[in-house]
Amino acid sequence: MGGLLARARSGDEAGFLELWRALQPRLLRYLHVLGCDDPDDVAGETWLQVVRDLHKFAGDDEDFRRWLFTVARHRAIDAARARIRRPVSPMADGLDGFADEQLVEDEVLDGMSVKKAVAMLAGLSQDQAEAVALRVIAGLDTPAVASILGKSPGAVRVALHRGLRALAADPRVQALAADHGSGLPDQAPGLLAPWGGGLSEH
Amino acid sequence: MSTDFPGHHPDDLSGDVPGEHLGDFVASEPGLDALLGMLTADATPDELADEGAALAMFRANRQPFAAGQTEAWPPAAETRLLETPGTSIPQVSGRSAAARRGSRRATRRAGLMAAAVTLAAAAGFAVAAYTAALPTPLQQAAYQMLRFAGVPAAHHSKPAATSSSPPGNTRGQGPSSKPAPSASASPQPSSSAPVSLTGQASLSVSVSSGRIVAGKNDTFTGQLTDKSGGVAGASVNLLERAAGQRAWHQAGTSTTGANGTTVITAPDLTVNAAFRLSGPDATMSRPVLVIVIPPVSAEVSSSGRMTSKITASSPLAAPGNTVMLQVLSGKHWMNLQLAKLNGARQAQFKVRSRLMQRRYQVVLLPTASHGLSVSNAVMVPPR
Repeated sequence: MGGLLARARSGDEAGFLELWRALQPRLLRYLHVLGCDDPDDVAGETWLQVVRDLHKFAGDDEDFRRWLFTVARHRAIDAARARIRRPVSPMADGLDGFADEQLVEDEVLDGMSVKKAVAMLAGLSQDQAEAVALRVIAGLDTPAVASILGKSPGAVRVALHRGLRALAADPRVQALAADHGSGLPDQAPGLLAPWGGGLSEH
Repeated sequence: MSTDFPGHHPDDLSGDVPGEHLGDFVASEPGLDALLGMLTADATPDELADEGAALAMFRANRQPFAAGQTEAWPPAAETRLLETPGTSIPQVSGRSAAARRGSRRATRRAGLMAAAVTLAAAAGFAVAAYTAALPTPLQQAAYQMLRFAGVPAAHHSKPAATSSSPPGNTRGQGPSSKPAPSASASPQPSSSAPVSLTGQASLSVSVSSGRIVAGKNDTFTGQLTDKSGGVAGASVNLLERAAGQRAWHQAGTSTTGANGTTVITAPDLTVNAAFRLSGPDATMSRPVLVIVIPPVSAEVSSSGRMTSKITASSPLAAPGNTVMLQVLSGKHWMNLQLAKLNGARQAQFKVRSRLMQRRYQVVLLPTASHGLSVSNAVMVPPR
């Protein structure tokens, strides 16, 4: 078990916060890909359950990530079911274009934001989007993704392959390649860094 | 715990597809490589905004840990879940106050999104009907479902203008010479001229414009037909049900011409309304909806080094109506800020320095009483 996880498990607040900071962004992005109406709320429910059961946890880093994202997936399913029981106005969808001002500014100035990248991923078919999200965003290996999704590893590989192919063929992604190579001076630092950049431990 | 994620590098995707090195594929697609880089980029401040709530939740819910205490892993509940995806486990009960606060704070932080959703929920299906997002039949269906319940009444101020087509002399008794009744004169279709209809009659109506600028007139053309064709000389009433009204009111009258047609103008419309025609023998047309568009304007009211202000004005809208500032990004307008019109039917938006020298416009969001309206575009000058 890694150091942060052990510290969090023993009740150490600083350890837990470091763990939370490392995983919360990925958790939110994954929940966005799932189409959660309120990813912050679902993430809060997820962490609540994880914290309550953390003292029972025994496993390594990947086990923990697998557990966290499994819980998140099921909290998201619960939230979706609750939403079906409490239908909202369909016009909410019509105003989904709203975002907070900072994100709009970022997009206006930089052309692409993390949120938009997540939205593009969410535009894939559900199985492809979730396979890519769990594999790339959550950083799980294929057997773990297959376990969470209840599919065979082969089916996950195929969904992953097709999803990445579809993304690569998207004109917006191809335009991103042009921007990426242009070295535009106003790009946000790190926003277009090669993937893998900024992923090391904080 | 190491926070390195195995899926973060193209090499980690090797072997995912038999016979193909997917990592090489990703590396060979710069756009995809950049996109995946964004998906795994460092946390944004927004994503870590709930840190305080998370810590409070941890303090309130952490369980005592005894050295050597482990149970079979994964826990039984999650083992079941892992084996049967899609199955939900019981909700965690007694959600902590900290978690609730965190959630509420996150909701508040969502800012415009929450406001937009709230607005949409409040306006409901009516908004869809008035945004022209729905086909006309659906708009009419929405109108009939809503019946404009609870929407403040407003009305056009002038009586309907009556345009009487030249009457035919075959079966009618000539044009009606009586003046148009007041708008509130009759909640029910009034009697029409005594014209005898042959067989099943029908009354059609069309409107010259389903969306008009507030304060303008709209013209309705009807035709009364029966088995033998157009029915001339019949008295036809224009009925109106405005937003906020439950009953139909007479808004004008006319007499059909030689081919059974008639034209009636409703003046000075300031609120969404449904219109229909009624004729002899209780003939009734289908309703048509007229959406009223209050003009909205935008102007740069002040320009400073750090911020500029854009003032939106919509004199014919109502105080409390919502306006939205949009900024042009490439070829698309992006939603930026929401505001409510004040008593003077104005709202101000602040534009920060980093977004100066860009084009803006203001959108008056639709309500049950009026449709969506877009202002002129303005350019915020450079600082």
